[in-house]
Amino acid sequence: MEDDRKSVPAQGEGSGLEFKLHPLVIINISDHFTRCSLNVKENGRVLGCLLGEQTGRIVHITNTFEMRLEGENEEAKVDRNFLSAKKEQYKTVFPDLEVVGWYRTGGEVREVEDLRTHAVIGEVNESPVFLLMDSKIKEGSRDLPISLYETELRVSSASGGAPSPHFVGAKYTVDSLEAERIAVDQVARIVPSGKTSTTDQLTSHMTGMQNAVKMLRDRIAVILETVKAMRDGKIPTDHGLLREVSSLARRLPVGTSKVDHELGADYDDTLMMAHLSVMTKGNAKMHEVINKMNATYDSRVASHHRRGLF
Amino acid sequence: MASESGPRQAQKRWELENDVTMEDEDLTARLSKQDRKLGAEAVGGSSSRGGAGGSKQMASAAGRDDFWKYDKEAQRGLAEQAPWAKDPHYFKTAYVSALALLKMTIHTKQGGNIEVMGMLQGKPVGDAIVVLDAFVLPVEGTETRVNAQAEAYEYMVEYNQRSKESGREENVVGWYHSHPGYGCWLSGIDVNTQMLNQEYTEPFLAIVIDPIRTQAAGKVEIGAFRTYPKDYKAAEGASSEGSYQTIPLAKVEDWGVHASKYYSLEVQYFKSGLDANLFELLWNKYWVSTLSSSKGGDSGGDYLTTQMKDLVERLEIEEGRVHAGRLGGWQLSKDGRKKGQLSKIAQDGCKVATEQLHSMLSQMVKDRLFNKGGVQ
Repeated sequence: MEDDRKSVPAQGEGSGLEFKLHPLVIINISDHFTRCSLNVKENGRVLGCLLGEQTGRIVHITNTFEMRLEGENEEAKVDRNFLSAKKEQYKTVFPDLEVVGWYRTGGEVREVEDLRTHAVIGEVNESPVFLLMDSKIKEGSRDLPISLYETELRVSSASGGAPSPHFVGAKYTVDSLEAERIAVDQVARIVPSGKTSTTDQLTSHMTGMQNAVKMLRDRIAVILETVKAMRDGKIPTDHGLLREVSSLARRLPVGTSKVDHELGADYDDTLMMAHLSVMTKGNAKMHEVINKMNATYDSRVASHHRRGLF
Repeated sequence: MASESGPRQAQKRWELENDVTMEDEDLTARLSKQDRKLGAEAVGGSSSRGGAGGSKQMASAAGRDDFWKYDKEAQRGLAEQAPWAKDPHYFKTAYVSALALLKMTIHTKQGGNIEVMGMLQGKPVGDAIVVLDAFVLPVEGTETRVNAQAEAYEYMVEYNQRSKESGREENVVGWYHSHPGYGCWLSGIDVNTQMLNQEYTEPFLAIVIDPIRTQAAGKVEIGAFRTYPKDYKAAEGASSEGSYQTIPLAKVEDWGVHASKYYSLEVQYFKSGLDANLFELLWNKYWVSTLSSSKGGDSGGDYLTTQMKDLVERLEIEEGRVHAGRLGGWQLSKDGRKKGQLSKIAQDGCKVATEQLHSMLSQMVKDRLFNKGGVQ
């Protein structure tokens, strides 16, 4: 994830925290950036706060709000009043969320400047994280243009022997809630909205599945290629990697006989539901036909009677 | 390269379906091009005032960066003209940004079985209301009590002011709230709230989201509504009654009484160019959760049972009616209004079954993939 960012050591010890990034955060930053570059100045950098929850060693970053800057350009400082007011506002509606860090858009870390902002956030949270998002996405890049940094104190000769904070890269994974997943699915793939027929629903559902399975297949193909190349001696053998591959392969099949059984029961239930619904449908149709029959038959009888009378 | 085929293909398919193509240049060029296009549009005068002409082309592009551009003058002009005051059916479409949709879906889901509400920020463009962002209000309540109280109003004003300070010029253009498990429509109280707001703070939009059905159907159940003026008589079929949806027995009366007082707007989603690119990249990490999701989990089973129970109750009522009809001669059952009831129940039943079948399908796919693999 952390590639060739020169100003920062690629991997540090860090605090050992695990960061889970939610899609809302990414889209929020994107919204902030788009808004600013269209209304204020093009490709200006935007700053904001990251909100989240920490349970144990896992930090979920789930929401953001923007920060306001005082002053111009390089000398800009974070508006502390604005920050605390915003923080209170979010606290009112999301009592569980705390400020866990801050974000900025831009290509690379600017140590001096970013450490200054980092210090301001540090007044709210003891060890904030810094999220950097590159708004210019490289063609062919397959990773999100996002990097996460923590600070760590390090003694360096430049600061004259006194420990000073430095940014170190931190790892993150993308995580989402069920509701979040559905919404992302919907906007990311533009599932037909509004009045969808059942056929459309089925197609979109199956397309989603198909894409996911394809992705899985592609990933497996990559692993297979690598292993083959190792066997043929084209690339050096990585034993750690091989062990991981083998443990992955050994986990199949995942389900035990119990799972199999449960699945069977579920399957039967679903079939039963389908049958029932079809039967209800048949009933409804039948009801309609009988009603129509009744109506026509009765009027005919009535007219016969009338004719008979005359 | 090969692993890109997933999202690429999804995009291709989408392009085909919607009859649009996205330039396949490198992304930065695409972004800057869009910017330039926007610049040209701004020079050429606010095309948004053109109304219908402008809104037609709107639906085509994937990246809708221009919605983020806020033209104070044009908006003020529009507010003075207030074209929506003349035609009660003026607004036809609601454009909802990816961000607003995400925020609303997550918030309503967090609310669970409690109704929650929030406000929408955006602007009117032509005959559409564009919703750019949403924020949460500190109110929750049961069905009868979703109306913003003084405290919430204070919060709203404060929030809006802060938003403006940080460069968000958009005003509040509506509100959203959740109907957990009973579909997207406006209740009597909702209608009153909306009517009041439409009178004083136009333009105003009401969005309703059902988080429980969202989960069950695997797609966001959302409805956008506007009410008619008090003395307005809706044309036949134009009101919300035209579109049929499942409404639980306990709520059906409330729904029926007020259904002719408002109409629903078409909901469309949009995202910025950057959003589109990010979503594509996100998919590279995301397919796992699509594959591993299971609709049956969590509250899924609970929802299923309530739906079944509702169906049974309605069937019983219907059965009683048929019996009564038979005893009293067929004239009673000729009562035209109730005729379609049974077929409606059948329709609902089918919907429940289809949803269940969908989740079963995913389960079977997974079973094949991870359990039955190798056994050909």
